[in-house]
Amino acid sequence: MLRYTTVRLLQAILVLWVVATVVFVLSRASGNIAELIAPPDAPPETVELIKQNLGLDKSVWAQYWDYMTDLARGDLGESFAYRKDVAGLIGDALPDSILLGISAFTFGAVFGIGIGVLSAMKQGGLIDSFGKGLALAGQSVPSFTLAILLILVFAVRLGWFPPFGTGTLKHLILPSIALGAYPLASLARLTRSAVLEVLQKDHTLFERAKGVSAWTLLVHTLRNASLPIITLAGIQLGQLFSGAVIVETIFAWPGVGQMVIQGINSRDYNVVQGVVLVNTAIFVALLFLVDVSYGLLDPRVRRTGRGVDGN
Amino acid sequence: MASTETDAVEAALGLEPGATSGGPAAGPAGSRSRTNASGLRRWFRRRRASKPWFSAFVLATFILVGAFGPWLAPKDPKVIDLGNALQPPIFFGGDWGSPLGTDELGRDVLTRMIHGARVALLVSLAVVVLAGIFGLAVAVISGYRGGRLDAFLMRTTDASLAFPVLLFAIVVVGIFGPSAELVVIILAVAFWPSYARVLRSEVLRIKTMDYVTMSSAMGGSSWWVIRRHILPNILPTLLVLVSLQLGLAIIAEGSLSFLGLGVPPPAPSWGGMLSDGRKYFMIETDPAWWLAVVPGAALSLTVLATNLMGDWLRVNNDPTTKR
Repeated sequence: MLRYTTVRLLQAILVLWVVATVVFVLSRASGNIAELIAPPDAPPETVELIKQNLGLDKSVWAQYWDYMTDLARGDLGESFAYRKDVAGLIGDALPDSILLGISAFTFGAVFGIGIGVLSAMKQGGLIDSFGKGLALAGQSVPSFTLAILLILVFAVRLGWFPPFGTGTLKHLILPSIALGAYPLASLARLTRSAVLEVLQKDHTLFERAKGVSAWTLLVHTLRNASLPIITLAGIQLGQLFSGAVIVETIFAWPGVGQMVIQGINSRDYNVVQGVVLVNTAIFVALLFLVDVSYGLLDPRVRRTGRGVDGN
Repeated sequence: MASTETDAVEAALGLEPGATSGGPAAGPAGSRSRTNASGLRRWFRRRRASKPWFSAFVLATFILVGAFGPWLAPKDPKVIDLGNALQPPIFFGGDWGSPLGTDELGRDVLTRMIHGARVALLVSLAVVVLAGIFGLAVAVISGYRGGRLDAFLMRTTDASLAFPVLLFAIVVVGIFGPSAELVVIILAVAFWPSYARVLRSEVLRIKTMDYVTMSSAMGGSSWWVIRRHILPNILPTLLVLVSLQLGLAIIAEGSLSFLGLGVPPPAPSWGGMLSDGRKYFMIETDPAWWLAVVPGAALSLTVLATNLMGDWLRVNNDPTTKR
């Protein structure tokens, strides 16, 4: 178990390092940052000064070294637009993003897994058909379309919820549905097929023959079907934070996603870069936790040291 | 008698959708009187014979409109006519001049939808083809060769899968400025790992088949084995993947356009139209809902069709799948 965890941890760090390097290469490949920051009619001396301030006059390797050592210390640089620490700005916006992410994920996971289990238990029944349709629709309607339709119907026409903004519980509902619909759909589909697979196994048949209560059977089935479900749930939770970019923009939700769009529009690259790195870190951390949870849930994984594929 | 009927069903399977005019349920009327075993078999055949009419229709429309859009569109997508702005669609108070209404600048929504379909089709096809070729190459090399190269390629694939796709795309397009080519490249970069992962496991499975071992034992070169045995056998899986990824590519293109990071305006794109449209139903007492609903419905329908088609292909290619 220790070896397994260590390997996974090293892999996670490797992925983070690769992403950080790619971001570095991209930001340097995009042209002269100093000229972008400087006002359009700035004299060459000003541009030169900005270059020196940012350390852009050094060699690429020296810049890379500075960048990596800064990252290792948790220093994401300064926002050009706000003249503030990027790490601090992200820290301010992150709680709102996490609130929305958790809320959307809870919505998706509870309904998705619930519908999936009920569909599998009563295969071919009414809930099954309904669940299939819902899952298909959820995977087909893009989040921004759903968000806009929700606003149109529930905010503009019916006036039940505010169309955008933050503050009350009511503000949280529409964005959570828009963001949680996709995880709901994919979790419902996967849970259904995972539970069906376990239900067809011999040990389930044996349990049934023994006359075990439906509830116990459900618990045992779910535990056996949990690996792929947890994998997908972890991936979906990680994807939520990047999917939130669109939903946060539509609902004017003051989170990290909106920050990155503003950062792009104002060419505030340190902010953009910082958000990408923080997001990747969250995603990688979640995948790592998922991998470790396999080891705890399934002794077979512990021995071979390889994960199980979600799909 | 029984054999001719079976032949008929099989012939119907091989034919194109238009040939079996009665639809999926139009089996021979006498099927119920058969014995149990053959009845069951026939039932399965018929299930398989039920074709995805809806998806085929939507996808065919999408492809035709995308391919011939500029010649089909009734008007010019960029001509501004402010006197004719925000006309509702036909049956909602509009007229036949603009069946799907006009936008805030008086441009014909139907025309812009048709041109937008072209963008969505070209971008998503290019993405799927590029990502598919690259992913396939990685999968075949990785799966067939094995060893260290395989380990390296699969670690790279895993790392690429760990990228937050949308965010990555947003950043790259944000840095380099929006263009159709860039959208295609960035989405292809984001999409190839799924092909590599899934197809590699297929290659591994086929590689151990007896006929492949025989073929190499009889002196078949690697290239021969790959071309004659591996590629034809992973084709069904590739098709399923392409179909499902096409929908994802359309959504991704729409998302980028929605954020203003896709194909740059004034070229119409569904995502961009949706984004422009949302300003016009928030402020007005009588919201111009069609500006958001029309492109939203088109996007959802198209993706739904690709998903249904992908599911159908999956079920019909894989006899072990249970529904």
